[in-house]
Amino acid sequence: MLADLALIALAALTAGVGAIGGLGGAVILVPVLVLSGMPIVEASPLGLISVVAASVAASGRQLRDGTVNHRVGVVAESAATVGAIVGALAVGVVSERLLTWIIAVVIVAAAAMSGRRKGIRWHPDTSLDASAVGEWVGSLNGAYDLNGSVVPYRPRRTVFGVSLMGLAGLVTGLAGVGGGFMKTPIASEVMHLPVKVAAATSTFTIGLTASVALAVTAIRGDIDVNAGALVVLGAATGGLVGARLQRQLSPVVVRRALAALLVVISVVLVVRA
Amino acid sequence: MDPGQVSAQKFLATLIGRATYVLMVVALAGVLMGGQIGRSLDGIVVVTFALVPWLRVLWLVRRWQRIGDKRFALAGTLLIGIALAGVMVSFLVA
Repeated sequence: MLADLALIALAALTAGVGAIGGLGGAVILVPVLVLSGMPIVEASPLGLISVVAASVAASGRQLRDGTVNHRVGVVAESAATVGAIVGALAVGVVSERLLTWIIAVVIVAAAAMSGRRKGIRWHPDTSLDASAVGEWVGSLNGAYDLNGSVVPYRPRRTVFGVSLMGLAGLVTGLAGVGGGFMKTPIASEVMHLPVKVAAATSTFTIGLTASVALAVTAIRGDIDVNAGALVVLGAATGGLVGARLQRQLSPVVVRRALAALLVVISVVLVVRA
Repeated sequence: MDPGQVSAQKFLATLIGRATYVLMVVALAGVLMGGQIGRSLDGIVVVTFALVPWLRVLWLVRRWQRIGDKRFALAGTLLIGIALAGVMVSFLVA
């Protein structure tokens, strides 16, 4: 009973933190479960379940706020999924230890980029009203609400950004980790999406990736649905709370929190290696 | 901009929000009941949660088709195709 409550609390905490930055909580949840004695083959599917549950739970709030850009998400996820399939088929080509170090260095670089930048990139446009909030038809552009003001944005370096999403997918396929910790910084720092839009869009796409990975895991029959239900309870609660918290925080705070989380994740990855 | 976007997003948000709460209640029932029935409820919750993101993409593709945003409707269809291909490849390799 105590172990069940601990699993719910852990899933809630990691999913809540993950939802704020669009990272997914599995990259923290799975190592903690493994360190507590759970075999990796049992912990990994629980990580995927936590990502899907938190992604679904957070999306209600994020959709109401108009921070999810589905068009960017669908385009980026197409590249990432192709990369992930190629990566999964090529597992073993690169040593796991080297791959982990590469990911850790990439994450620290992303954290430095996110944390170093000051202020916000996109500013309110008083000529726009609340009906402009959300994504715009026929393009990747959109606008989001910032304390009652409408802030339009236009993604930059789209081809380069989508190519990097493909590479992120390749790395996630090779390493068997979720890609949120790469997708949010790529969307925010390379494609210049506002960090809240990048995080909400990443939360949407990591749900897609995790559900495909979960289907693949289910084919092998490695899922403990009883523990999965406990993780659902915790992660869905965490997703709901994380999305609400993200709404109240300023973009600068979200970006700094994201940078701090990325450093923690890189440390967790190196310790695992 | 899409004039129907606000109502569409509210509809989707309400649908997903309610589904989340219903699934959480079913998950809690499954955990408390235990046994074969509890296990079945837990399985239903996990499978349904895994399907929701893809049902959302299907809904988006239909909506984009309806408002004439054909380029992104095609991109969404392509994404579903890629994901299905990925699952098929994994099935064959396994």
